[in-house]
Amino acid sequence: MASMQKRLQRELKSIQTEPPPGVSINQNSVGSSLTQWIVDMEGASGTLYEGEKFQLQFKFSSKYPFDSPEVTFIGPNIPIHPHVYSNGHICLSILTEDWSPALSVQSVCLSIVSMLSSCTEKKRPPDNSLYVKTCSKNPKKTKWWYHDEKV
Amino acid sequence: MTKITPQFEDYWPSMQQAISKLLHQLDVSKLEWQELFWNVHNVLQWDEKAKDKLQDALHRDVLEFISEAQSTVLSHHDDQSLLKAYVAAWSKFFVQCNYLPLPFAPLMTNPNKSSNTKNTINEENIVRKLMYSSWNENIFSNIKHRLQDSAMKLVHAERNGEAFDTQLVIGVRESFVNLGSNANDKSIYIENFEKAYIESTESFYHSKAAEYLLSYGVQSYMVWADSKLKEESTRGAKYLEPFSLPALNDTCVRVLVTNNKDLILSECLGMIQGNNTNKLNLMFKLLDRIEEGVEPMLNYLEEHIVNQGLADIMASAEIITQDSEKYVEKLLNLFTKYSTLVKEAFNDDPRFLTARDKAFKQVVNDTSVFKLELASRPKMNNGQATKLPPESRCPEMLANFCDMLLRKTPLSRRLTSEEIEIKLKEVLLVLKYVVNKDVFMRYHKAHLTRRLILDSSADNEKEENMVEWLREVGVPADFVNKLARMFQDIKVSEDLNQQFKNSQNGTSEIINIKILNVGAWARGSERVQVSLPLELEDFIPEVEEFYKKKHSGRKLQWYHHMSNGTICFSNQYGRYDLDVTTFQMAVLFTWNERPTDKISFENIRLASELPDAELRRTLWSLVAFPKVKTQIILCDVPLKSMKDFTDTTLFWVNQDFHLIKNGKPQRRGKLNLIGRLQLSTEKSVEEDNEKIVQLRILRTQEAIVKIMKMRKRITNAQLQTELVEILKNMFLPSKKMIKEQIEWLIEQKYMRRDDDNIGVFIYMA
Amino acid sequence: MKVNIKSWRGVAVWKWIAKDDNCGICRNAFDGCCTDCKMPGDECPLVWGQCSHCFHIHCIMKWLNSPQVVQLCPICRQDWKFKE
Repeated sequence: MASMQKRLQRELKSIQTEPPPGVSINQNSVGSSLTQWIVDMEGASGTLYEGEKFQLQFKFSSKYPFDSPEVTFIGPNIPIHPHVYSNGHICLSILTEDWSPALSVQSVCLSIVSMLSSCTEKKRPPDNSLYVKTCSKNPKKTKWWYHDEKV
Repeated sequence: MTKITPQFEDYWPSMQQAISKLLHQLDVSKLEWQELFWNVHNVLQWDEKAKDKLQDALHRDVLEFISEAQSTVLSHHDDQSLLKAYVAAWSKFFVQCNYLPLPFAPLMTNPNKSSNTKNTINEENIVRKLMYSSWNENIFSNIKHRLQDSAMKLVHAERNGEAFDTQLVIGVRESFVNLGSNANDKSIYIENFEKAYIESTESFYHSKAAEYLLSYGVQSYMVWADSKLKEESTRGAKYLEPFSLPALNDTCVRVLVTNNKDLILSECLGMIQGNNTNKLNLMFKLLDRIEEGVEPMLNYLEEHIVNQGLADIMASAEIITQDSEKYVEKLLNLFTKYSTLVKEAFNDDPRFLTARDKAFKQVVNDTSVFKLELASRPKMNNGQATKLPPESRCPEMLANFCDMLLRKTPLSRRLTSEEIEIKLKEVLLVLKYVVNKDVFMRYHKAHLTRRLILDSSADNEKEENMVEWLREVGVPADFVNKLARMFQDIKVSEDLNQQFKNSQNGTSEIINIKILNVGAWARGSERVQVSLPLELEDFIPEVEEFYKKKHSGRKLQWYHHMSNGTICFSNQYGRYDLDVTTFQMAVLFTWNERPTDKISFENIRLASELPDAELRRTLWSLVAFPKVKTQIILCDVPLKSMKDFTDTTLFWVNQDFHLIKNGKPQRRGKLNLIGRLQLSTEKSVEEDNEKIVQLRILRTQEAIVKIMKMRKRITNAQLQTELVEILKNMFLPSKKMIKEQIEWLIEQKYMRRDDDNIGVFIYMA
Repeated sequence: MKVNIKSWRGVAVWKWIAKDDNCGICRNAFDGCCTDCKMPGDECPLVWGQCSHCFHIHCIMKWLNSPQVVQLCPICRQDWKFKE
């Protein structure tokens, strides 16, 4: 097994046995090569997204964890959030330039949960319609200009 | 001289004279011979009709000669003289058939054709053909059956031991061969002579074989049949055309071997049992001539080795389950005996070697005498409990025997270095047949660990050779590398000890530390608490500090259950050196300040800080050590079981402890109380067994994935075969385990079943 | 009766001194080795950064050699410098 698969195997085991609150791995989405996962996510109670269900798709390259995973929201419900485009792309620095191999599926999920939880107003990013028309399929190809930290 | 063209009639008389001389085998001078050529040439040159005339005239003369011969031959009425006369006449004629045609070669050139076509060589020689066909029509065809019968009678007589002129039979055969309609047509020979010869051979031996078997039995029969096969092959070469020999051989084999196969085979088992290699060799040679002939022999051999092997082991079950040396010896005797048999009786034929190997494998892996139970608790990744079928303890016994050879033992002291090497190689030979080599590896490693920790190897060079030999017999590199690593750790530790001693001021002389690489050694799982004697307690931090300086970023974790030492015990009888474990040392030191006290179990526990189970075991080893006359520690409960110790059980030092040699008390002496060094606690023995099972599950999964990745699509049967092949140097996966792991991998989406054929698996990338 | 120690053969295993049990990069135990190695110990050593975080040397080298602008500790994101 490649080292990427060994590490993902480990992560898969840990996320299965101790999933972070509101996050669960969609067992059927994970193939034997482990290159693509789907994670089910619930909006935390007491936040604007309470009761909503989302799906996150992770795609891993063979260089993972030295290369960040490609993470997008998919499915019918894309959260309305100033850092989430209507095509599911997420503007989050740890997914590109601030990625570190010490991060994991679990920590990325936690960052996204906390990004959603700290939101005070449900709205799309201001450049949503232009971005969605022009962007690449792969959010990692986007040169993000990170939105103001204060959402 | 009148100028007229020469006519055929002018030449013929002189030609005729020469021809007649040739036919009658009279002397023909060189001149006459040359003239004949010249005349043939001339007459064909000048006389257009000469060709036909010449042929007619020649025919006439040949016929005339043949009718002379005919009357000579046919004047004999009884078959034998007829045959003799015929062959005599034929022999002459046969010779002339080669000479007479030569001068008439120009007859063959067809004037209408270009002389360049040089196809004359392939063309039938007209003259010879004329001679043969005349002979055939006038003499041979009328008497050929009589001749053939007479020839066969002669052959028959020869088979019965009568000698005669072989030329008589050969002459008849030549007639059959040469008198066909053309040179390539052997059908007359095949349909008559060959057929008659083979039929008479068959009928001769058909009755003879039955007769022989009845009067002399199978064993003599085989000798006889073998000699007859050779005899007939020689005879056939004499009397038949070479191309007839395979058919003759088939017939001989059928009538002499195939027809009596069952009778011959009925003695096979007895010969194997009686180790009758010469007879078996003969049987092998005979039966190997027929298709599938040796198959039953293979079965007999395999069956016999298995029965004999198991019977041997069963008969001495009590000794060999206790004594690994005896066990290995038993197996090796069996191996040697039947390897010799296969060599002598069957010339190491690969089919017999395979049968031998199959049988050895069955004996070695048999579980009827002793078995090893391996089971895992249901805590595997997929939550399934796996209980494996019982396995042979052979690998454990082999490892134990290796240990006896490699450790300082009475056995290893008794043997020379060469003898030990031979025996180790023999163990490896047996190991080849063990299906679950992983069990051997586990025990071998545990023994090696003990030898290295206790410095009890008999010969370090041999130890390291053994590692390489294991590599050579196909033990997986992962495992062998770990063994090599263990030796390296010991060497590095020696250097480190030297450096440590140099850094201290002589106070550390008594200390020797072995620092192990955690991944390479047999795992002693949990750490056991113990209160060390004060002298040692002080050294510990010094060693730790020293190590930290040497290797930054590392720390030491003590394995006191493995550590050990030598103490000096002195009392009124004398001074004795005792090799003890650190746990025994800690317990004995409890009395150092109060040597005559009776101390309770509970108080010893408090003083030594040993956990209950370890303390029980340690005390038991001091109150009930086998092989000594006086125990070093005494207690106030009967010595039945260590379970009988309670918190209030009292223990005290036996003031009368002393060593006895040859019935006399000794003032000095050495005693090893360590016994078998404990590598792990009771609980982790179970864990150890579990680890074997878990490792097998893991290896099976890995191997299945590897095969699927390569094949993409594979039938269940093929997958099982390849799996067994990949894992053969480690263990034999059970069908049940394979099935479970396939199911698990399907659940995990590594693979799936084909929708149309559930016996086919498909890899899922 | 008296007992004296004549010699003692101590046995120890060595372990890495690390704050965590596992390497933050490959997630394997420090007692084990990185995903590319077969045997733990000297062949697969640990290294420490000045930030005091440690990794299997093979893991951190892969990270430092991967195309990126700045070399940061994967855990605390401080500039990565090997501890002397």
